[in-house]
This record gives sequence, structure tokens and C-alpha cells, in this order.
Amino acid sequence: MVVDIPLAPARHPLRRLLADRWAVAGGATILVLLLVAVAAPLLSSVEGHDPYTYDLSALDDSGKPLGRGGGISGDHWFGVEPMTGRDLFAIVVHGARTSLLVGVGATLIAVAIGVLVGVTAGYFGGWFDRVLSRITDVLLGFPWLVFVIALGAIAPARFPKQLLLVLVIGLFGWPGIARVVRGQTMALKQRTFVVASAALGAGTGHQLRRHYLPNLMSTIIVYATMTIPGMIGSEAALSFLGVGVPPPTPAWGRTIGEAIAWVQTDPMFLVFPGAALFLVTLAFNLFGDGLRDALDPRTAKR
Amino acid sequence: MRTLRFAGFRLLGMASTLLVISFLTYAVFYVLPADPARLSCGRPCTPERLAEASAFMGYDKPWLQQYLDFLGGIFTGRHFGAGQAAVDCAAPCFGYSFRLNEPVTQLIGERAPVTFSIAVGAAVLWLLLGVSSGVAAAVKRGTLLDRSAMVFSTIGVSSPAYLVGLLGILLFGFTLDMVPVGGYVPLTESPVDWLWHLVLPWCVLALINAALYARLTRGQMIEVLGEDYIRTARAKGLRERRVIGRHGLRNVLIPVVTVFGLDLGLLLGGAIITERVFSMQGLGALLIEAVGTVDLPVIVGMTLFAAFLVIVANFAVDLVYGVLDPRVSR
Repeated sequence: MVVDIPLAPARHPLRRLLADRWAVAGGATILVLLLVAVAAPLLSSVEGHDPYTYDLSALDDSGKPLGRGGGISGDHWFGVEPMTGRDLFAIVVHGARTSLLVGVGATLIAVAIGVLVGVTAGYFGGWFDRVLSRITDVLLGFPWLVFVIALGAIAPARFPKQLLLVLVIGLFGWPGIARVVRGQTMALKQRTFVVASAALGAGTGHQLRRHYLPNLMSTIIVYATMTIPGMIGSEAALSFLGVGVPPPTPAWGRTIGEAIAWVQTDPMFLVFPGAALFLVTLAFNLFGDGLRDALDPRTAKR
Repeated sequence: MRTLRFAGFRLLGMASTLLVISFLTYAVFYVLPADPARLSCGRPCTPERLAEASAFMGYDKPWLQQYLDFLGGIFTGRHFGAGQAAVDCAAPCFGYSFRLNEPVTQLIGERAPVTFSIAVGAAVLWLLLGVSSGVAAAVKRGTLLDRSAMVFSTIGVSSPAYLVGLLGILLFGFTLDMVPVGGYVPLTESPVDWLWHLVLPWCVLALINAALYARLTRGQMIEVLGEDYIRTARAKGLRERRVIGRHGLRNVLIPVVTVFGLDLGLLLGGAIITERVFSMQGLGALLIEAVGTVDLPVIVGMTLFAAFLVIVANFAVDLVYGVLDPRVSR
């Protein structure tokens, strides 16, 4: 039995969210990063460089950027990439596009599958639920990184690599959401208004559309938000290992991977993309936590 | 008896899961790609040579037969080809790399110590660190200790292992010159050097993952401390230490063990990423090399090996779970 707990301060979720300083900071950071991603070509043209053009004149004979801090100057705000002299600021702002696109795309796929699996498993129950739950459990603990790296070997070369990443990361990302949604669906099934509508003869489609989905919405939104940083991290990890977004498309993970060889001589090459990746993950985590506390006070931190 | 029956059921479930996963993996990797025989047939690749290579590797058979041969090889070993050129792949045979001329099992055996050294050490460290800081934060709830532990855990959750690893190399390796900046020394060669090279990878992987466990432990401990039996234990006059350590911790560990079981796949992934950061030649390096050269037997063998490993480890975690929480095995 699920007992309806009255929500003590009957405040609007949005106001609760706005009262959470950390969540607001996270949300604001996300907005800024979104703007940066959308306006990446504009931003890099203001600075005067694109992320693809080589500039060997910015390097010394060993391929190390000339000048202090990896070649930071009024011309190159974040310095340049070792060996190629490409502008690091342009690479980092364009990398935001890759990260957000893959992260959000994979999340959409994961959420779609997760909700479908969770709702149907919880609603229909029985053997159907048992089979789906077993699959969910196995996938939840699956060494997906090994599998995804391996898939890179057999993917047709013509297939766009970024789309493939979105698909594969999304396909392995749904079990967590499915579990939560299944639990919530099973709880909803016991609620009086749902039982009443079923007793009145509401069909499956009607029940799912009018009662289940609207009541699952806040859970889905919270989990979708909390899934995005994980997906961004997955893409970055694959790119870091050299099996993710292929060059020359800018990707933070790949740049960090290339920075291994330059940690000692040019640490700034690691710091900029690293900070960007950390910031975007932190922002989504803070915002997701705040959103959860605001939409679902029962699970709020005590 | 009950425990035995519980273990039996789990064993059966595990075996069927392994079977399904191996079938799916084999199907995906052998039905989709270009002809593996063509990849290793060399130049000039005449039709005769291609057929010869195909027959040698066993790719001329229907793929279902190939799958059954593969499964059989795990238990009884296999032979490829015949006569002078025949190669032997002893059980457990996870395939044979014709590119490296070595059975996949042997390749995995050579590289596994590196990855396992990282993974096991890091897991021990992160469990200790995560659970103890979570308990401390719960007991000293609301204090500066609690708040800083939670801030730290949010930062940890958001930090990619490779980033922290590289910063660690920069700080402790290059700047302070305290630890080696990379490489691996086998335990059998020099235990001291082995430890010395692993300290930083362990700390990096442990710090990041401990964050999640600290949060989990804290939340669970706070909940448990509100239970009636804790009040009873305190009312009996038990020392606080015993109340927390004995009555509290046991119930806190149950969800921690569950999450740890689910994180084993993640642990393997983390170790693969970490070994790259510290330029150690482990399983991840083997796999990435194989992907680069499209060495299909190694790719499939390693994927299945990883899946098997995690599922078997999960089985072990399930058994531990049964001991911690006797209700489960009924």
C-alpha cells in the first residue's frame, strides 16, 4: 500500500528549486554552456580562429606551443594545441557542441527505452515483468565499456561515428531509469484513483496516457537530468580512449587523451578541456539533485 | 540447506544468463562484420587462399556451428587447421588470434594481472574510504565534517577518473616527484615497485568512486539510526561504538553490497581507463589494439571474458548478500 503523504509546505516546485542556491548555480551554468555550444562558431570568430586550421608558427621545433601557459595570448585565449597549433579556445567551445549533442541524444534514447520498459513491466507484471527485470538487472551490471569499444571494430565505416556513439551509449544507459519507473508504476497501480479508473472500465491506453504518464513525469524529468552527465562522461571516456568521436571533430575527451603526452611540458592543454568537462558534469549533477529535491520532497536529503 | 538451494538457483540463473549473453555477443560480432578470413588472408588474396584461410579458422562453417564450436572450446579446447600448420588452443579456449599467433586465453592471462591489480586495490580502498566517511558523516550529522564530506562527494561524482589521474601525475609525479608517473611492475618481479606504481592509480579510482558510497552509506546510516532497535540497543546501555559498528553497520552494508555488485562492470571500465592514463599495458590496451587491427577473435574473446567475469563476480556478491541478510535466501 502506498500512503499519500501530504506535502508539508505546499509550495510550487519551481519556487523550491529557485530557493536552492546550488541548483540555481548549476542551472545557470548549464544555460551558459548551452549558449556557448549554440554560439560556438560566433565565439570563435570573435576570437578570430576556427578549430581546424593548423598554425605551425605558434609552435617551437619540438611541437610545444611558444609563449607562457601553452601559448596563451590576446590572439589565442586558451593557447594552442601542441604539434598542430590549432586554437584551443575554438576547440573547447566547439567541443561543447559535441558533448552536449551526444549527451542529450543518448539520454533521450535511454529515457525512451527505460520508460517503455519500466512502464510496461510495472503495468503488466507477471512473466513479462520477470523477463524484463532480469534483462534490466543484467544490463545494469554489464561491462558496457568493453562492449562499446569492441563494437567500434565492426561498425561500418560509412555509418556516422557520432550517431553510432549516441545509439550505443543510449542503448546501454536505460536500465537505471527502467528500474525506477517500474517501481513507481507498481506503486501507482495501487493508488485509489488508478484502481477506480480501472474499475470504471478504462482501457490500457487511456490509463497509461491519463494516469500513469502524467504522474511519472516528474520522476522521468529528474532521472533524465541526472542521466545526462553520465552520458557526457561516457562519450568523453570513449573519446579519451581513442574510440569515440574521430578527429578532426573537436571533443573534450579526445583532447584530454592527447594531453597525456604533454602533461609535464604543457599542462594548460589538459586544464582547459578538463575544466570544461568537469564544469558541465558538476552543473548537471547539482541541477539534477536540486530538481529531485524540488519535485519529490519525499526523497529530499535529510 | 536453504542457503544451498538459494545458491543452486542463483547458479542456474547465472549459467543461463551467460549462455544468452555469449550467444548474442557471438551473433553481433560474427554476423555483422566483414569476413574475418579476408582480413587475415594477406596479399595477394586469391580466392583459393581466402577459402584456405577460411577453412583453417573455421569460418567456412555455418555461424551457428561456429558458435557451438566456440562454446565447446571453452570447456574442451580446440584445434585449428591440420597437419604441420595446425595450432592448438587449450581449454578454456576463448578463441585464437591468428594475427598474434596466440590463444586469446593466453593473451588475456598475460594482461589481466595489470588490470586486476588496479581494480582490486582500488575497490578495497574505495569501499573502506566510502563506508567509513559515510558513517562518520552520518554520526556527526550537520557538522562541518558532514558538510565537507558531502561537498567532496558531489565533486568526486562529477570528476572523470582520467582527469583526476592526469592531475595526480602532474602534481605527485612530475612536480613533487613522489611516485612514478606510469608503467607497471609485476608483483612477482618486485612487490615494492608493484605497490609503488599502483599507489596513485588506486587513490585516483578510489577517491572518485568512494564519493558515491559515502553518500549512500550516510543516507542509509541516518535511516538505520532512527530505527527502534537502535534505540533499544542504546537503552540497554550498549556503548555507542558497538551500536553503530554492530547493529548499524550490518544493515548499512546490505545496500552497499548491492550497489557494489552493480558497479563491478564500472570497476572494470574504470580500470581500463586508469591503465591508459598511467600507460600500463593491461586488458584495455589489448582490446584497443585488437580494435585497431580488427583482430576479431581477440575482440569477441575479451568481450565475453569481461561479461563472464562480471556475471560470476555478481554471483559471488549475491552469496555475500545472502550471508549479510538472511531474509534473502529464504
